[in-house]
Amino acid sequence: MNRILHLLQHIAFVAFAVLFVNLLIFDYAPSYTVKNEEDVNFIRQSDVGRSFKESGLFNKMFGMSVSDAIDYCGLLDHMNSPEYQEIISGNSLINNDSGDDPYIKNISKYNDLFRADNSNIRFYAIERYSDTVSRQTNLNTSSMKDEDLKKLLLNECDKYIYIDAASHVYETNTLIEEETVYTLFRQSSYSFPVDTIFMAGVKKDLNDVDDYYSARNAFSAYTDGYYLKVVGLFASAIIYIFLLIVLTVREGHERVSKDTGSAVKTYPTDRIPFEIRFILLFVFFLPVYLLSGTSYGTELLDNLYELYIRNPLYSITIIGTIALIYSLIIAFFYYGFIRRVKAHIWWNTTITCYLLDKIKDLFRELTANMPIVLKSVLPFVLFVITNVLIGYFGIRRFRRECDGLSIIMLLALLALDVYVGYILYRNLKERKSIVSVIDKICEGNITAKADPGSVHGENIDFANAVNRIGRSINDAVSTSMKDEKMKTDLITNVSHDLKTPLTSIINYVDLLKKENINNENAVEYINILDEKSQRLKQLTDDLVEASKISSGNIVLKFEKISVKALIDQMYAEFYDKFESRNLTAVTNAPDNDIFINADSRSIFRVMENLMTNINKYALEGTRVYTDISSANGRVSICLKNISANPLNITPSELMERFVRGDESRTTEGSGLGLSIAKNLTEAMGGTFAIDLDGDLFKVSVIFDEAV
Amino acid sequence: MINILVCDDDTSIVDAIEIYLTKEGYNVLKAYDGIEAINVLKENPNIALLLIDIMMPRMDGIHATVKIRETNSLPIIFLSAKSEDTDKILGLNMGADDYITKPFNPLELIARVNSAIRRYTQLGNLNTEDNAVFTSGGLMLNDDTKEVFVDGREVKLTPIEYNILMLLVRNKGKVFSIDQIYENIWNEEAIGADNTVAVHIRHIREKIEINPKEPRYLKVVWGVGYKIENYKE
Repeated sequence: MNRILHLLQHIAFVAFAVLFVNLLIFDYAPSYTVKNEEDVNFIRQSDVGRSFKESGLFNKMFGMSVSDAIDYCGLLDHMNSPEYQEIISGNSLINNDSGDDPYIKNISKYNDLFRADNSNIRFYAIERYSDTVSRQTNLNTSSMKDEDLKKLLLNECDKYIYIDAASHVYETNTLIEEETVYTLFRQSSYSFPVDTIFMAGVKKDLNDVDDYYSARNAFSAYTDGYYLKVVGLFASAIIYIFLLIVLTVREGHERVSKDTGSAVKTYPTDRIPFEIRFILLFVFFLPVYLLSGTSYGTELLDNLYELYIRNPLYSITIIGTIALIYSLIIAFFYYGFIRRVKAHIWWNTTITCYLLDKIKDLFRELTANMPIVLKSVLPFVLFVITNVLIGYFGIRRFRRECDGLSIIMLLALLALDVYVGYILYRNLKERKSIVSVIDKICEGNITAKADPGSVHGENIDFANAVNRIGRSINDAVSTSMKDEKMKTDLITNVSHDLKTPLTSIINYVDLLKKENINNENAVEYINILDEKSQRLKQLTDDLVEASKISSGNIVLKFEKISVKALIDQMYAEFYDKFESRNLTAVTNAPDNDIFINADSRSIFRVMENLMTNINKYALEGTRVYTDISSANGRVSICLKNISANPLNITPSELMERFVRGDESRTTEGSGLGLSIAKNLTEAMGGTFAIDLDGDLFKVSVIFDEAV
Repeated sequence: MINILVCDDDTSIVDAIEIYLTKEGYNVLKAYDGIEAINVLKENPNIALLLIDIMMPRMDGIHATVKIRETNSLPIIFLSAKSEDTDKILGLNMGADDYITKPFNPLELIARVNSAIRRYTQLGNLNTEDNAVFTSGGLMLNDDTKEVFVDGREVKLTPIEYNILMLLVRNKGKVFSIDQIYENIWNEEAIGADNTVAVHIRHIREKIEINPKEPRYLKVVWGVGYKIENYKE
C-alpha cells in the first residue's frame, strides 16, 4: 500500500515539474520579440486562452514586422533612386562590398529578415511618384499589378494589413490600427509619396522557421489547454502534499510480524547520521541554487526552451527524468527522517549526539578521579567562561552590526543559561525526592524506593545507594521478624502440646488428693505434685504471653484510662491477698483524676503482674506505696515496697526472662512477670523502670497524659 | 440420670472427667474424635451436654460443633489447650456455649457444667414477663423479692451488693465508673471515695461468677469501670 502511495507521489511530483516548466515556457515566448518587461507582463496576462494569431503577442510582432517592412521598402526605394546611384558611382569610397555604408548594412539585415524562404512575412509596396512607380515585394511574382499582388498575398496569408494612402483605404484583420500604420510611415527615415499602397501579411501555416514560428510554438505550448495545465499543476501539488501528509503519518508503521503487530520499521540507511544526510541533500540541490538567478541559469533555461520548442516530447522526457530523480532524493531524505523521528533514533544517530556523548564521557573520565571540590568547581568555571566569551563577543557584534550570527550567539547564550538553570533545578528536585525516600525509610517505611531511572548524573549513584540501604534494612528486619515469629509459633505449639498431659497430671493429682490416704508422706508428696503442676501451668501460660508480646504479636485497643480507678480496682482485687500477708496499701494521688491512653486489659496485666510480684516478695507487715503524679504531660505510677529478701541483683537482670529477684525458684511464678509487664508497657508506648535501693523495690510505669 | 457426652482424643482426660462428673451424679458417655461424637449423639437423643476438645484427629471439635448445630441445640462446652482470645471467640461464634481452657480446674469444670445444664433445663420455666424481673443470660434479679439467681441457683447478696448489681443489670451493656456507682448507691458525692466500690464488686463477682478472674456477667473494664454483659437470650 505504501509503495503505491509513494509511486503516486513521485508521479505527482513529475507531473508538477513538467507542467511547471511547460507554463514557464510562455515567459520566453513574448520576451523573444517584446523586450519591454511591462509589455511582456501584459501579453502574459491577456493572451491566455487565445490563439496565437489573435494574441497581443502576435499583433505586437506583426506591428514590428510592418514597421520593418515599411523601413525596408523605403530603403529599397531610396537605393534604387538615381540620386543614390550617382553617389555610389561618384564616390569610390563607397562600394557594395563595403560594410561601412549604413544603407548597405541595413539592406543586408532586412534581406535576411524578409527572404521569401526564410520569413513568414509577405509584403509589397507600390509607391507612385509623379514620374515613376516604385514597387517592392518579397512575393514570388513578376506581376506588378496591385490587384494581382493583393490576391497573391491574401492567398498565402490570413492576417494582413492593406493601406492605400491616396484613396484613404485601410483594411486589416489584425488589431493594428490605421493610425499606427500612418505613424510608422511618418516616422520612417525615408519619405514615401502620397500615393503609396502598402500591404503586409503573415503566412497561414507559419511553416518558415523564424521568430513567428518559434513564438507560435512556444505560445501554443503554453496556451494549448492552459486552464487544464493550471488545474493539473495545482492538482498535482495538492495530491503531492496530501500524500506527503498521509505517508508522514503512515511511514514506518509496517507490520513487522504477526506477533508484534505494527512497529516502526527502519532501514539500514536510516542509520546514516542526520548531518551527513543534510550535507548530501544540500549537495544535490546546490546546482539548483547556483543556477537560479545567474546568467548560467538563464542560459540553461534558454536552452531548455529552445529544446522544448523544437522537440517537446524529448524535452518532457528529460525534465520528467530530472524531476523523478529529485523526487526520489527528496523522498529518501524526508521519509528517512520521519522514520527515525518515529523510531526515536533521530537524535541518537546524529553526529552531534555522538560528539556530545563523547564529550560527556571524556568529562566523566576526567572528573572521575578528581577531588570533589574540583569536580564541582570545574563545570561552574567552564560555564562562566563560556558565558562571558559568548556574551562579550555576541553583544559586541550585535552592537556593531545587528546580523544573524550575533543574534544566534545571543540566543545560544540564552539557551545555555536556561539549560544550566534547568539542570540546577532538576538536580535539586531529584535530590529532594531521594531525601524524601530517606525520610520515609527513617519513619519506618522500609520498603520505600528511590527510582534511579528518573534521576540524572550523580543522583543515580545516590538513589542506588539509598535503595541498597533500604534493601539491607528491609532484609534485616524481615529476617528478624521471621525469626521472632518462628520462635513465638514454636513456643505456642510446644505449650499446647505441654498442656494436654499437664491437664491429666493436674486432674489425677486432684483425684489423688480426694482419696483417703493415711500415709502422711504420700499426702505430702501429693501436695508437692499439686504445687509443681500448678506452677508448670502458670509457666506455660506466661511463656506464650511473653513471647507474643516481645514479638509484637498482640492487638491493642486504646482507650482513655483513669489511673485512680485502675489503682482502686487493682487494690480491690488484691485486698484479701494483701490482708493475709499483713501488707498495707498507701496511695498518694492528686485530687483531680489523671487519664492515660492504654489498652484496658494490657494495663491490667501490667498492674496485676506488679501486684502479684509485691504480694509474693514484700516483707510481711510493711506498707506498699502507690504514688500517682503527673508532670510535663507525663503520668507516673510508682509502686514501692520493702523486699523480704536482699536484692543482690541489677534491675535489668530482674526484667530478663526467667530471672527472679530472690534467685530461688521454689515459690510459685514463672519469673516472667516483670518481663511481661515491661514489654506490655513499652508496647503501649510507656516506659517501665525498676529502681533498687537497699531493700526498697521501686517500679515506675510512665505514660503520656491523655487530654 | 442426666447424660453428658465427653469427647477428647486423650483417654486419660476423658476418664478423669468421667470420675468428676459421675461423682456429681451425671451419666457420662465417651467419644474420642468428632465423628464418634456425632455418631454417639445420633444414637442417644437424650444427651444434655457435650464437652468437646478442639484439636482431635479425623474431625476437630469446631467442625463437629458446626455439624451438630445443624440439628441439635444442646449446650456445648469447648475444652481446649488453645487459650488465645481469638480461639475462644472463634469457638463461641461456632455455636459453643462456653469455653474452658486446659489445664482446667476440676471445680470450675464442674461448676460450668452444672451452670450450663441448669440454664438449659430450667431457664425456659422462668417467668420473665414480670416487670420486676431483670435478666442477662443466666443472671436473673427479682426486684420484688430481692432475689438473685445465676443459672437457676440462688445467690445471697448483701443489700449494697444487690443495689450495685441491680444498677448495672438495669443498664446492662453500659459501663459505670466507680464514682458513678458510688453516687448512685450512696446518694452522695464521691469525694475521696476509696476502693469500697471496687471491693464490693469483687465480692459480687466472687458470688455470681464461676471464675471471678474470667467473669461471664460482671465484667471489669480496667481503669474505666464495670458493666453487666448484655446477653440477648
